[in-house]
Amino acid sequence: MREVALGIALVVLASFLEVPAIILLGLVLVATGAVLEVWARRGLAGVEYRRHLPRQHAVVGDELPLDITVWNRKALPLAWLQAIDEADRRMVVRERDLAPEASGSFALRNAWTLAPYERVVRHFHIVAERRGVYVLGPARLEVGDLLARPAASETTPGTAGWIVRPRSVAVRMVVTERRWGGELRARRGLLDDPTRYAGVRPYQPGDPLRGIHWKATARLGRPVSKRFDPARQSEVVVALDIEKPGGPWRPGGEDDLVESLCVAAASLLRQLRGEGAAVGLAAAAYGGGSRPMAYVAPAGSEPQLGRCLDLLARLGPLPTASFERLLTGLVRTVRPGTSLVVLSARDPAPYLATLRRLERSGYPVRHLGFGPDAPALAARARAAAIESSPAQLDGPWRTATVLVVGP
Amino acid sequence: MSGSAGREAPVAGREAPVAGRVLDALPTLLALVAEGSWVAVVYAFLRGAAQEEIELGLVVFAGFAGAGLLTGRALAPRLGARWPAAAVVAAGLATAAGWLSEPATWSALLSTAPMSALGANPGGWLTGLAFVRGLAYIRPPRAGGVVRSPMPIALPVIAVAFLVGGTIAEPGRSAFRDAALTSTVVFVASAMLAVALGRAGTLGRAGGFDWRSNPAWYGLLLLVVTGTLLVAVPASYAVGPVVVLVIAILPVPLFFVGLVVGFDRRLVKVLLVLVAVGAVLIVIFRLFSSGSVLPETGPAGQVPAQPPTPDWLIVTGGMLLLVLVAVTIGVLAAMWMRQAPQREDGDVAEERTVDRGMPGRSPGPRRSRFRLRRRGEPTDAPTAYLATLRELASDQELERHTDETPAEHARRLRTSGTGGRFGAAVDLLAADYELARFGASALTPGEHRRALARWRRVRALLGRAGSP
Repeated sequence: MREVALGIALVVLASFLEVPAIILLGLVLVATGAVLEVWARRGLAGVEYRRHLPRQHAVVGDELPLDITVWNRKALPLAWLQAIDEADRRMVVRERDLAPEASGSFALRNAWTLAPYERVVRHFHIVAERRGVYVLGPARLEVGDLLARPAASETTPGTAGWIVRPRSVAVRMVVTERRWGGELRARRGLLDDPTRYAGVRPYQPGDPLRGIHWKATARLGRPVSKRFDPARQSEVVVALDIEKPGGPWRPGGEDDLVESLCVAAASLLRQLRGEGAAVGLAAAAYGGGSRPMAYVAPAGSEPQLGRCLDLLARLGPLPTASFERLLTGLVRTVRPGTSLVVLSARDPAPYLATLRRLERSGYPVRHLGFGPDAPALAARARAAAIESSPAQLDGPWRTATVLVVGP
Repeated sequence: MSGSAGREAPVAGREAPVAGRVLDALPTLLALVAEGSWVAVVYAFLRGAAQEEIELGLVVFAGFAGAGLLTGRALAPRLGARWPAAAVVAAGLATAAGWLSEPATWSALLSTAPMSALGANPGGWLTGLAFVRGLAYIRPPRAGGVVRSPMPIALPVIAVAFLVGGTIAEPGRSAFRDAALTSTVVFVASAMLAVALGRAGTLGRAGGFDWRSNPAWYGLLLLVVTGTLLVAVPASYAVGPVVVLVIAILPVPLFFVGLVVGFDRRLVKVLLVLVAVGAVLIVIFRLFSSGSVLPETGPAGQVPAQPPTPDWLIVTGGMLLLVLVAVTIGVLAAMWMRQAPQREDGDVAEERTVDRGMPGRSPGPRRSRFRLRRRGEPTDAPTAYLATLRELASDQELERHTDETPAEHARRLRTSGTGGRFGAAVDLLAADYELARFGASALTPGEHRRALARWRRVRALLGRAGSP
């Protein structure tokens, strides 16, 4: 409006002075001011900005497609439309670098030129380099007028989020296979309980003859087998010790060890779940909520592994309490008989007494010494009569392919 | 989606050799023309004031600005730290060239008093100014150079030149006004286009778009700039007397209105401001003009004196030139669009479509609120929620999953990028539905009304306003 006012003032002044050229300048100023006003009022009207993530989960090393769509749903063309999406500085977009903002944060900047009713979809790829929870947005939209001057801006409230889970690798047991729980390891994940009849299902080759429901087969005219509810599974909780060997963590330092621990824990959880165990996870760190302890109760349901991996993805790098306190607290939350797999990269001496107490209380404990000193750590635990094995990745956490457990 | 005209966006940076390069250089070229134009106005003022013939035009000054640019681009990278000193020398040479272009300067130099040559051709010194202005554009836009608007400097200079130019005695005044008007028109057109195209280019290079792929925008830009000048040039001669007349007679009706409705403080203020403005304008006019404030009237029976008219041939020629520039830009951009190479790996893949949202119908003006209700439209809050679910079901991301409660579905929409635009509308609809159906609560008429409004809002955001 300043341009319009200045233009009118020039027109009035020049009219008295009879100087047409200045009237011309005044009229041009009025026109350009009016143009700016039109785009300031209508520029962002009908502009739709969308982010589309086809999935919200990724594993470190994956590429997650991200589509950003803008749609100018009006007859007014836009010289430019800029979207500044707030982004986590750890986020990596293959096609574009994140731009540092004045506030110290980072942003994904995009700009388009849009014809009337034009919709533009840009296909980006997010590289999942590190585990974590990522949020893109909210976005600030800025629009230019016909003369490409900044005309209007607004902030759109929506965000897009995704979780990058840690990698999981194959687990190779070098030692004789041991039982995780109180029962012998079974080849099948779920054990049928013959006392809990639950109906029939179509016969499948390989079903035992004793399992065929002969009466139902005769009635239906096709073979059907009996179906039973599963028996109670063995329960295993992986207790992850993220404390640094020899002292407290420094922010930003020793990240690789935490990442390696997460990869090892994810691999163990996947292995256990594959063996049919009901798995859970506990760690003395923030897991995305307000509680200082991260915990997923053991369960054998289908999405349980995903829940555990999500918690590992959210796990902060700094311990929020001592590992001993975590182990002590588990007694109150975990059913007796549940196996505890303790994964730690530090000297077990401070928490050996707690482990022994847990074993006496009916919680089978297995200690896995992790990291470069794994054999020594495992030996120390074994010396204290705790079943223990060394566990080591066969390379850096980004490229490792196997987690070797024992000897 | 209708009216789809999908096309791949050509990628900035690898355009057709000729059309692309010309279009890339266009903002800078236009900026040089603008710089030359406003310097030409100053030149015309100095020559008019000295009652001398106006020999150099805006083309010459634009040429000197271009020479500055070329010199800078050629020498600055080679000379490095020595470039500022070299620039001063080059500007001095350009000044001398303009100064010596006048035969009177040579005569004075060869006379017995050669020092008098310094004042012989003051306008000629301005070639140095044009040269220096050209140095501002030595950094190419591709290397991060920005085409800055010359208006903050040029507009006050042009305005002062015309204001003071009114005091020049004839025939210098008319010569100045005629020459300067053309330069002013060219300045306005070229500066507006240069800045708009330059800004769009700079933003496009940083943000990954190219203005050449938006013919609607640059077409409208050229149309508005040309149209503004086509209207403003004749209007600048017609508006003046009207404005004077309106301001002269406005206090009288205001005075009578005041008498009828009674003077209040606001009306008194308006009258005082008008009187004060009028007085200031009269004083300024007396200072800068030798004529009278009001249009001159001759003796009885004679036609009043007409305001000066522009040289229509020159102005029309300028306009035609502008139209020609506009057409050239359009043709070059169209060539570039056709010849632009395909995208390479590493670029952001992009799809462009024109989507009017409704088959065969554009989202036109809003319909009357008092239209007849269609079959199947919701009548209360629970049916509004169910209707909303039907609307959302067409989109895989937005539809309610079979394992979701209404609240979970609404929460997912609110926190997701695509559903975030609905705000809390779906939450509130779901809450109403749950209260009415599962909580057996009686909702108020107002809540039913608000729920229907939320349903309409969701439909509008989905682009289905007005559809059956």
